[in-house]
Amino acid sequence: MPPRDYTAETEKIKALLQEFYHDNDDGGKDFVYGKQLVRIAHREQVSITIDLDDVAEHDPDLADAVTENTRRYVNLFADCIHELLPTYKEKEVINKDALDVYIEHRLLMEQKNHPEGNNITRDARNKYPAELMRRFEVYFKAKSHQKHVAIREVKADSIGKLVCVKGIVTRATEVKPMMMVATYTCDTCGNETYQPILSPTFMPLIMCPSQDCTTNRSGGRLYLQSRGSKFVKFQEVKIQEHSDQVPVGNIPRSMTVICRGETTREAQPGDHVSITGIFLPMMKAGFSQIQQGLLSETFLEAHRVVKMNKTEDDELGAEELTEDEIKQVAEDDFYDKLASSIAPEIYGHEDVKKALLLLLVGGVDKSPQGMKIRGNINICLMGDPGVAKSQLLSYIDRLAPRSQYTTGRGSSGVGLTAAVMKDPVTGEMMLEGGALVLADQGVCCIDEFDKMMEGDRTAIHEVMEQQTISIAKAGIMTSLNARVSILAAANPAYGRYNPKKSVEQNIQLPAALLSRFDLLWLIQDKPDRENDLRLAQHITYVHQHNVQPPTHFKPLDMKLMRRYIALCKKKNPVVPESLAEYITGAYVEMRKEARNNKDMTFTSARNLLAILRLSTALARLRLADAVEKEDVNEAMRLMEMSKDSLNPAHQMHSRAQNVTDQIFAIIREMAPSKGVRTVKVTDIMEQCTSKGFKPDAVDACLEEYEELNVWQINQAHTKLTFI
Amino acid sequence: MPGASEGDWINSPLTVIQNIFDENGSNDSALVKEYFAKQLKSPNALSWVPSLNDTPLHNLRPNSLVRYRCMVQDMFDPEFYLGAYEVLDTRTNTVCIESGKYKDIAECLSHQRINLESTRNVTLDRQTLYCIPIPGETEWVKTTYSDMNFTKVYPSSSTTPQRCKRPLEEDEDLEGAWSSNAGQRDLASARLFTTQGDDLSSTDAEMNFSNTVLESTTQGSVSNSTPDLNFPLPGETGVACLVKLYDGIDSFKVNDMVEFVGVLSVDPSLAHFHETASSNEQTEGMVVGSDFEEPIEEKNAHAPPPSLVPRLHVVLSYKLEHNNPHLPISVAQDEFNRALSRLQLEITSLRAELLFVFEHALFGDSLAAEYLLCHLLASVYGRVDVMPMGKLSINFSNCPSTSVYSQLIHQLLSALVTKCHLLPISLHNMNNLRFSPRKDYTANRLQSGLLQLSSGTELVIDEMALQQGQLNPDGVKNIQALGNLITWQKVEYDFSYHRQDFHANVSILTLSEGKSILPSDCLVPLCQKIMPENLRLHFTFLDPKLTPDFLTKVRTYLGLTKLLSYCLTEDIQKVIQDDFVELRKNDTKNMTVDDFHLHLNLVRLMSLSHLQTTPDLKLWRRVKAMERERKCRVAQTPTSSPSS
Repeated sequence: MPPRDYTAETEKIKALLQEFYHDNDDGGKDFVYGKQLVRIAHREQVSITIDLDDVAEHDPDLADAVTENTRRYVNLFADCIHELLPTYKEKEVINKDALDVYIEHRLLMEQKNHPEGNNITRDARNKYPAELMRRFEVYFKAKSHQKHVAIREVKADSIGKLVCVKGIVTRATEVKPMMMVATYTCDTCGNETYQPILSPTFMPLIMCPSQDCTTNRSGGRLYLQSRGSKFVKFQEVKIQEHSDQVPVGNIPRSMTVICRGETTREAQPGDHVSITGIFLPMMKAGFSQIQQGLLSETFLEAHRVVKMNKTEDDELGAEELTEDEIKQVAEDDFYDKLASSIAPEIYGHEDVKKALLLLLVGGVDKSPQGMKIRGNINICLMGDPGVAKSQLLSYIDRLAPRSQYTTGRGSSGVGLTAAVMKDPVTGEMMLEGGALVLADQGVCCIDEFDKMMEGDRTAIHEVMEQQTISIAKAGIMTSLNARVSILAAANPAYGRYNPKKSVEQNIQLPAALLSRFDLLWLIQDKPDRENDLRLAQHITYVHQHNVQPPTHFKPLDMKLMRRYIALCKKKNPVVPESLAEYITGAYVEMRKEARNNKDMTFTSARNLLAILRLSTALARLRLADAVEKEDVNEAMRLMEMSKDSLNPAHQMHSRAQNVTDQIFAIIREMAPSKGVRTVKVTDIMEQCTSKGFKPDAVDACLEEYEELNVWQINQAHTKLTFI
Repeated sequence: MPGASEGDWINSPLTVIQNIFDENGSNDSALVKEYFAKQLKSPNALSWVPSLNDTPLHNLRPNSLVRYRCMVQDMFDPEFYLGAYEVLDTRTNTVCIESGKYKDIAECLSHQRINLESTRNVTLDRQTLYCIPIPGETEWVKTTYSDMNFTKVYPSSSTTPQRCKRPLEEDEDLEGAWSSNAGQRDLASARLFTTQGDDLSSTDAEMNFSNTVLESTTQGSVSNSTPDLNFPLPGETGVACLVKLYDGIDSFKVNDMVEFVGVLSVDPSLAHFHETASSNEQTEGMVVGSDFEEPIEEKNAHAPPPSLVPRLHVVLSYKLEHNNPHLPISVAQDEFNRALSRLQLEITSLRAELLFVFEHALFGDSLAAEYLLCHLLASVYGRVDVMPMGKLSINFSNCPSTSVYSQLIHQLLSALVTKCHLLPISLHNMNNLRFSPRKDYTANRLQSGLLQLSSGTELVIDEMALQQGQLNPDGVKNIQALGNLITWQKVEYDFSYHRQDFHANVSILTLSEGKSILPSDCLVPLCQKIMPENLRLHFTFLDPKLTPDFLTKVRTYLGLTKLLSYCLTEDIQKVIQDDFVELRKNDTKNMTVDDFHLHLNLVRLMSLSHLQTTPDLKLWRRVKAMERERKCRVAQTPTSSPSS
């Protein structure tokens, strides 16, 4: 490549700065840089950022050259601006600080001493270095289409170029002044000498190099003048790759970033940042250069530091869904498809998955006249050990963009709600959020819900309806938002679910808490030939081939699901007037039904709200603006199914159960209420047969309740003792 | 055998590299790689290259070719260096270009000068890996590897002509307390459990002794003035090394086992002693911003003295699938098949003998012996979503309630497997040891944790050491980390700002009195048929069995079996599936999905243990019977909680 003609480049740059404009909204011309130059000339602006998009528009060649050799062009731009500035000065500038005064004096001095022009008699050393006289900083902004590269992609070939990286700040030093130009005065001749400093260390000048001193051999000593020197803000920042940029099994890499001037104080440890800067080797001077051998340290000289928050970062991936993706999602059976894409490795449980899908989407929050009605859907999964409850929970935890996974026996001292902690260093009291607070506007998955601590259990009442957590501890009284959907999993109290007992007895949770769940699912592990065979085939396939077996449908990608759900959440469907009647009618029907057959669950006004929530969630899922009758029907069906799952014994042994229950009632009446509660088996037989029960039914009852450890029967089978 | 040219490329590889550079005029490391690969192609050529693992550093010549068997512990940021630089000869006034690859220091003669300003200099980047000797590597592996070495590099002054393969004195002391004081390694392994004289009563004293050793080593890393070498396991010794990679950076992962061949660099000027570094700058001039330099901790971590942590510039690297010296390096070689067919001839007797040894160690419990064998063969062979396939962690409950037993079991297993570590989970250990690795941002390195282990490590957990007491938050995290490792075979590394899961493949054997507090795939309550008075004495009966010949066979067998491929045939699959449906019909409770996974896993391991690549019906029935018997035992043992 032939060396560039930099004088020509200078002309180009000047032209750019003076002539570049954007078309204004009202047809006028907006001189982007011209305006800024005016402000800089008046000391109202310090940094000028050159957008490479603009440069490319003006002269594509120049833009490329800037990206390739940025450091050089920073100086070129600075020189040009310096030359142009006086022409942009429109009014007299008030000196802002000591350095301004110095600069003014220096300029006056120069004019006085050398009216005929510069560098005739003066030694180069005594000339004012450009850096000293400038009060502005030049930064580049990379082209908008220039992608952020991972830190590990910045290699030796990027040296000297403008690169954009993204990362998390792991270390940031304090901002300190760094000397850019050292100014000395001579004790003999009084001349000022300047020394521009480019490296981190420098050797101070001692002997006066001015003509006076050298010719007279007076041996003037130089003294450093801190007021006359120029300092710049300086900060060193260390950034590390984002976790998603690190290949599996690798350690995240890091990079040193050096911020000067206006780019300092932009980020703190823990911030996610995007940094544009020049990748440069570190200048080492003197002995350490030799000691380093062939190595050179590198750093990124920051030109632009932008703080990103995590959600914004996520949204980078969440652009509008493309045509293809919408097509992929919006097929006829999209509801089933989305549902079965939840935890595809778990077999069956379609309705549970549908319910979980609705939980992710959520209903619409309403606040009529200040009363808040939550839109979040709470679901509780119950079931025998080993029915993949925890897998479902952990899948939802992974899928939901914001979620917390915890167990009822909260492992940390903070627990589920919040705790007041004392800072060990400052002694200040501060609030530390528990899982429920941290999951605000997300999903909180609580495993082993039944084993929750008493304190958390009371707090969760409030969370589940009011969606807030009130705290009155250690003088701190506050109410924290906890707009969460709760997905709970609970084990039955006696190891396995006993269908003959009510839900409350089975999970030992108060009805008040249970009624706050919109849906309760009981997942039971029942032998079923066909299902078992499919399960067996599935598992053997997994063991054989190490991958999930191919299914007739391809589960949707997790990222796509996430984006689709995010899209759904933007919709706020309403329940049309016409449907209101239908829903109330259905609710009245449900109440009636519940009264008629002695149900294991109960129906309350909360169920009505649940139906509304579920139907709005369904409408959201369709990306519709109004709830339809179909949605209500599906919501009612889900509710019905969840109730059915709780009354599994209903269809099969309802009659037999009634008989045993009746016999049990008789036996209980026979037992003495005080002392040792024993009854003779012959008495029982007599009593029961007299009431018309067959002896084998009585035996069955005796056996069944003995198994449940309600009573014991002695060896000879003559006596029954209640426990 | 590399004959006359041996001296050239082993002793002065840099000259060879410079020649290659001059000839081709290009700085391509592929050419260098090609040359050395050619030199090392002959089967035994590698053993002529001295190894860093068993040769003391001061006996190795700087800038010579060495090899190093290690695990990647940390990855540093890339390093930028001059890949080619201009050298000016002041005497003849000629200029030449030299390659800066494979060296840290540009060496030039007094009349030469490096022109750092030259436009012909090329800056390149290379990657630095921090490597440590494979954690938990058992003694026999080290000795066997070092015996396989042809070259013993003697110091040029020939002061100590003795074979310096065991420089780790303190290790020997510790070992000596447990086993016989035999000087000869081979004999020691033959008399693994023979105790010194009549120390029947001194068991407790020994226990205390070993405990103090453990504790002192964990504390030693803090109080020692030497830099912390970041070994995951306490009490480990060996040479850590900064390995510089020139290509193929992306193929290496943390915790990989690799054998590197490269140029050793130990120039003392590489050390960045913080005192000297800062004083240099003081004399040199004013420091504009002292923060510009890295913190002292980082300097110490990244530039330790080369006498402690040498630098290795890699020309060739071999990723290791195993570290078993009895096995050929790769499965693809013919040698592997030959070894396999040799073993197949005597598998029945070998297996029976091995089971007998296990049975004895497990007090005559033959069922537990089978499970132990399966456990030793288990290894994660794949992952389905997050679920690891093929692992089998076992919890032997009902063990004698003394830590001596777990030490003895650990000793037995160490003689058989290649990587083994005993972890007594006492309260002190749980609360004070670091289990999960953590990124230290001041030193900018990954602080190792106990669970940073390479694939295939055997971890024996001694729950008998646990007493009642309070766990601190660290202890709770440690227990969780252990549980995660057992269930998901992953370790969460703490990067402060985020956590990252790293896959692991560690077999875990838990020894406990009751059911362990840690999860396990398979709980086997021991059924003690013999109740020995003295455990040590009981184990010494095994010594005549464990002949060197037998041990070699077992070691080959265990190593080989892990590498075998396995598949289920269609008809067996069908039988197994039907059986599952049938079993579930009879007893749902005892045949959950997890049970089925366990069955399939066991049948795989059982057939592998017979060196069969597909199971037959007999084995499937055997597995079912084994599981039935185990379930029966589990049901009989009293449990505190009703659910499993």
